[in-house]
Amino acid sequence: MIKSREWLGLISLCVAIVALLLTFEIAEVNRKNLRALAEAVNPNILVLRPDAAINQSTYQQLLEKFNGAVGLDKTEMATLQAIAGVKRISKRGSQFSVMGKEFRIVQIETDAEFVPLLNLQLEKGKNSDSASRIPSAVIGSITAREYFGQTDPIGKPLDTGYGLVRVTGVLKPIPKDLLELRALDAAILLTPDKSNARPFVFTGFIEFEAGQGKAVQARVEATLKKFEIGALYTVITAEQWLGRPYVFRREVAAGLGQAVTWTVLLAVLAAMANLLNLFALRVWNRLPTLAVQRAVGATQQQILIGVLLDVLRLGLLASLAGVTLYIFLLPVLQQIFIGLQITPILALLAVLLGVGMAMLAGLLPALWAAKLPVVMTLRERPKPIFREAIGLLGVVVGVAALLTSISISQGATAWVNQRIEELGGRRVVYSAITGPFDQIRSIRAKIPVDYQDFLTVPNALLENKAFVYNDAMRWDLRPPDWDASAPKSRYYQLIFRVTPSYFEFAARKLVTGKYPQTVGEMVIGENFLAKWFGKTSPQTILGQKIVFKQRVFTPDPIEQSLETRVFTIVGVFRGGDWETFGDTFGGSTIALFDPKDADINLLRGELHLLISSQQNFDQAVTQLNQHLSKRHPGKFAPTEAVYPAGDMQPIRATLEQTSLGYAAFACLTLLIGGFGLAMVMLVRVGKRRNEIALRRAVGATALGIQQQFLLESAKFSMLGGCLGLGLGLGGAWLVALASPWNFLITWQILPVALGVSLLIGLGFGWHPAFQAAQIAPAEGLRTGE
Amino acid sequence: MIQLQNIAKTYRKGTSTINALHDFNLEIGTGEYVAITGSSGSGKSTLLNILGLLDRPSSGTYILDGHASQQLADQAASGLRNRLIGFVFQSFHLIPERNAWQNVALPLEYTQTNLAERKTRAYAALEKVGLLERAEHRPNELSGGQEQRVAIARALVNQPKLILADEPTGNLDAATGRSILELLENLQSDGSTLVLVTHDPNVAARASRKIELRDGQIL
Repeated sequence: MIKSREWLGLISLCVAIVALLLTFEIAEVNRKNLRALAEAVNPNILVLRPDAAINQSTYQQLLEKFNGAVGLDKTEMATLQAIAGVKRISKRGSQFSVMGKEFRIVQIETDAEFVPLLNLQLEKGKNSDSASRIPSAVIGSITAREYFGQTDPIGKPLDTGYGLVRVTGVLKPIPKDLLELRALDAAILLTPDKSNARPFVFTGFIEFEAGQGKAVQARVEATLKKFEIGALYTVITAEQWLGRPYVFRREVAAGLGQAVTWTVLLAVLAAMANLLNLFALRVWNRLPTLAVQRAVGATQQQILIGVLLDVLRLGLLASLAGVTLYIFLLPVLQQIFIGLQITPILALLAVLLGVGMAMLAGLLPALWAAKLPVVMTLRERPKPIFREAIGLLGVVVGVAALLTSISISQGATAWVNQRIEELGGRRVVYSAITGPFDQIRSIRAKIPVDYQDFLTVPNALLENKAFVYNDAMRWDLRPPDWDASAPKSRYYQLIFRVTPSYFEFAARKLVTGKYPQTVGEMVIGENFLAKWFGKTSPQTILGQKIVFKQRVFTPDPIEQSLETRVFTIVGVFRGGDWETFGDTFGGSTIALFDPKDADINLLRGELHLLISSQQNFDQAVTQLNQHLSKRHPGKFAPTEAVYPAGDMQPIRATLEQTSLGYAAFACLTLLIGGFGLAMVMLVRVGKRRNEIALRRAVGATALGIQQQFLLESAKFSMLGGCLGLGLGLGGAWLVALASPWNFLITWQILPVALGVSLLIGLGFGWHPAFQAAQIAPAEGLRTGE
Repeated sequence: MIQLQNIAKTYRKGTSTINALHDFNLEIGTGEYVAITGSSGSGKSTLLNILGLLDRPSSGTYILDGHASQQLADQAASGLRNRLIGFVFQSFHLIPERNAWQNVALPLEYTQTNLAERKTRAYAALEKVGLLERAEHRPNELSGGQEQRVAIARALVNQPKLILADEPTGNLDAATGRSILELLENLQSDGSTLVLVTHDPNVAARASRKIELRDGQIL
């Protein structure tokens, strides 16, 4: 027999199961999304790439010896494949541009391992077939559109201009922040490469057994030293190769994954508190019966088993009801949380978990029942202090869960936003710079953005703006050991000339010195320093002058001349890994330019803009695109805007889903806490029937009684709220200690938590208060305790 | 003070109907001392509950001090209980968490009386029943007789016109019972109407009028 107030406990367990299922499922969906974010590229890889800091004369010697083809050949690749801990090996070899209709398409020689090794996803079809007689290829999404339009390219021949290939698969669009791989969208990945020739362009990929990265790296480095050509290459990790956006994705995935785990733990804790309450109440209700059972011969063990069987029955009943309720609510929940589902295994696990939690929570009351003093219990029912304290625990844990989850949500969001900020998440760049993007950029549309645009960009929604003028191919560098007879290609060097505001939001960290203050001053990257000055201490080159020779073009090429410019080195900035775009100045030089320079004004460059806040980002970008479209009607395409932090959409969407999940979890936990409170209040009403009847007898109205109990419920709930507040703050602080984010709670949440407690008290206290008001005075005086 | 005309009270217990009172007529004048007796189940407590507006008759008319009970909403009935009636119960019905004066002051909580005055009046009532020195004690620190005195003080704190006592000496020894009765009789002699339910003939004999019930009717 289940008493009416115990129904509340069962509903509470039922809701707890729904909360757990929802939390688990949201966690699972988020984990899946986060895993997809983190593993967009196989993390267990090493990359062989040309060493940026290699001695130039060594490079020239090898280049000349191998006739410009300086990649590893198949024999050397096989040697690397044989290294212990290496799973498989692949390469990205020579590449040739072929013309598409609008985009420049790149044909890349690779092998059948390339796509699976990097964990690249196929939109349709399958990976290329190395056994095929006809060369087969996987193509990028832009290539598919360029050559085949809306028709299905799978199985069709493709004429690249270098011969026919058969298309076996189409890659999914590469995530925007994986800059190193973006070019694959407009690529033809050609396999098999059957020759043993050394490729001209080469990047090698080595997948290692999980956990063996460092050991394999050391072995590969040792093996490379044995190859003559190996001296050109350095071995880096996936994170070094893909740079900050990739590291960021992995950090975010790990951090948010941790946040999700904390939520699940909180949900379990809240449910356990209420279950303990329910079973303690149930045992207390049955004490007289249990005492009689003991008196007529039941052993302690039999009482214990009896109570536990009861717990098992109720736990099973409520868990099944919870799963059924969840299935019933699923269509509605799926509208809010994309990707939610329930499988038979998950349902079974939820039931088992519910029963398990019930058994765990029921153990203490069962032991209490088994140990009860028979004679005393027969004479008088023990005071149920234990039960009320546990009842309050439901509200305490509910409010604590609310606070903790809000704090986690705020902390994690702030942390992610900060990381996005560090990555340049508020930056948008309109660019004509070289880099991976130029390979997919429209070959027809020339980016018209110039310095005049910079001057006329509207200030609304912007915090800062800077112009970067890229001199990549127009300057010759004359290092201190200038040798007029040396090949000129040796001295080509990227020079970026920027407005001073650039350093305010896009600057690299300085190793030594300062940023340029006036035109004619320059900072150089660490890699540049190593390449041109050797093993020199950065401090020693401060103040040195370097001479740049600019080739001045005239209509008649024969009349071209060299103009000399001299810059003073005032600082050295930290070199990045192979990061791209905007920040890829590790091997470069940055100087200020003179805005009055008419020549620069006419040239294309980069417009770096810092949006005032991440919230305004989309609005600001729309405004900027409108501005640029207006200035260059018909010539400017909004797709020319580039975001250094990459596409934040998946991360923002995951954050949003996680925050929604927290909100749902907090609501359900509070609901569970509310049921616990209602149970306690009903017990209090039952216990005080006599007092209620007496109050009615001496003049209290039914409404007055109702108000009195509502007030008590509110006070009780507020007490729970205050305790929950303390516990929640402590919990949030502890969680923050164990997480990458900082403890964060806004003071506004404190009145909100107390307000919510009050509402719970009033909402869930209403029914018990109404029951109290319904007690007939005469009946209450006769039967009250 | 009290007029009961053709009162009937029926209860449902499972599938059967119990007629606790039927065709019941009674008049009690102001200042009377009436004892209601009868065996268990005769309808004594039902009658007392109806008289005290704790319960409503199934049919018939009950007029208390000029107010017809059928027409009284909960608020009005509660107000009458508060102003006109003082209850004394066999099992005292004191709130264990409150001390003596706080128990006595309970009816005053439902009037427009501030805390200081409530305390003053509760102390005065306790003095009247001879328990001033126990005012700060909780019920579990009092003897049965003292608990009943607190209950009587609570009944008289609002100076009610009608005192309804349900077996007030039932849980007390003979000597204590006598002193409680004397206390109640003193209140009656001050002008209150005293209606006392008892199955003790000695107690009933002290009343100026004795009404004996059997099967829900006056014998």
